[in-house]
Amino acid sequence: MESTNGIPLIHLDDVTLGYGKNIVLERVRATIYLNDFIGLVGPNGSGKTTLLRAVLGILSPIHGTVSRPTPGFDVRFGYVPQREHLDNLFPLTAFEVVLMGTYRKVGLLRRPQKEDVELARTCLDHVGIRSLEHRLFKTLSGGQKQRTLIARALATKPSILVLDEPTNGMDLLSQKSILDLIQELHDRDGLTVIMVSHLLTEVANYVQKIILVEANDVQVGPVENILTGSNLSQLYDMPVYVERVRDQHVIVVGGRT
Amino acid sequence: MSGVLEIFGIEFMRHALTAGMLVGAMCGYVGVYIVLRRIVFVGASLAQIASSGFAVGMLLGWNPFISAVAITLMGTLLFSVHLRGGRIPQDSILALGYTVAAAGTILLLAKHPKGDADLMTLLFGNILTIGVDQIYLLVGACMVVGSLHLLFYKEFVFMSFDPEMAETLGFRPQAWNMLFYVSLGVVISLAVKSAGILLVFGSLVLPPVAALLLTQRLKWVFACSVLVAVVTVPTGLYLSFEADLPSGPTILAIQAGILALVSPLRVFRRP
Repeated sequence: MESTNGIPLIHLDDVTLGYGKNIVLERVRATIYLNDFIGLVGPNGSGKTTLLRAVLGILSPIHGTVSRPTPGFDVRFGYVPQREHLDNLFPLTAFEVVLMGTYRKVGLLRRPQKEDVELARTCLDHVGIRSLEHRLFKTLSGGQKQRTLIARALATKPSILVLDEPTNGMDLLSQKSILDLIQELHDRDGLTVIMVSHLLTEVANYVQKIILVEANDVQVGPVENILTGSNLSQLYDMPVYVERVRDQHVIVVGGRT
Repeated sequence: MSGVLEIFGIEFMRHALTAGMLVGAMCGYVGVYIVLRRIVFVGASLAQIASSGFAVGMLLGWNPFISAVAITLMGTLLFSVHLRGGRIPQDSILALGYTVAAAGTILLLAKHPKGDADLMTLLFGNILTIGVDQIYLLVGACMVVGSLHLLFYKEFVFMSFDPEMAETLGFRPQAWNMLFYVSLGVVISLAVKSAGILLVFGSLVLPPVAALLLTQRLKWVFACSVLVAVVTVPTGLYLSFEADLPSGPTILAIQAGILALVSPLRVFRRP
């Protein structure tokens, strides 16, 4: 079910994931290619974050391997965590948060240099919030915070941008604006993007491929293969209808008989 | 003014002033992390664990400083490993550490000839009886912990704010957490013997909270917190001397007063 195109960056081969004796996902096979735009979708608690941690290399598989099959290609992740995980008690400005993205390059025992500061400002500019650089992160709106975190991820000069629930808790307008920005980063800057969401409808109209995690089952494939009424009905064990309205996927679950 | 000079001209008051300011500087600084990481009761528990270390040292005839540092470091290891989520809730682990250490201290000192007096010293401190050797120890700790935090400022802030992102960049949050807790353990174990559990715990929390209300820039929060913790020492010692009050609680009362004074400021602050 998996399409193959371009340079493979991450390959999950028969991977079993979990914590201690608790197995979360079994026998996952997937490949992430250069310039992919992937939606990692599934309900809360399905194992999306576990899979994401394995892709990021911060969770070792219990079985199988997570490899980088293209030697010489520097796979670097620009990670955008769920903004709710960041404590508003910290009095940090948007600029200070973005500057953190340069810390790997800066290295130990060194302070960020002029070029790191410039990079942080360029990244703020890139996501359209340069004017907010002196504002405290905690005082920003949900959308502005998300842009700040995306700018921080860009400051790591990533080859893969990974976003964990980027539009969680946002109103429709902010949601669209953030998704448009992510699409722009993929289309304009050629970034490989993995976007985690618990809402299939949210990512369906943006991504090219979907990794669908549901009840220990993982499906990987192009949107048109995964997003069919019959497949989703079988997966969720209830009637699911996929329609197209104004060239957009609309997913209807259940419905009155 | 001459009264102040006269009081701090007395040798034991000079020692108390030096030690108190060193304890204040260290607690005021690491306290910012404690408040921001929302682990204030780690401070209380470690202070209590440090006191049990002193009790072990006193009872067994070991150097109490060494036993206190060793037992506090064991406590920091326990916290750095177990406070990251598990089957036992975080606050239960802290309460467990606090109560077991408190009970242990009381039981250990119950059989010591000077048990009651030692217990009171550990609890409320007696900064007026500090010797030169303790001051040297505090100066050494201040230099080591200060250098560590100065050198790794950006890493400690990053690890406190977003350990998940840091991990994706190749940092090892567990190792950094361990280093942070070790520095915290050293500060608390040395400060408790000099100033007592109450003053140490208070200085870990009150100045950082006051600083967070005073300023909204992280570097200034550290600076203000250290300033509040340090400045309240001579003021508190002077007042306690003049009014014949215990020194530690007087210093804490002034810190609490500053906190009460700066609280309304946040209403006028710009976002």
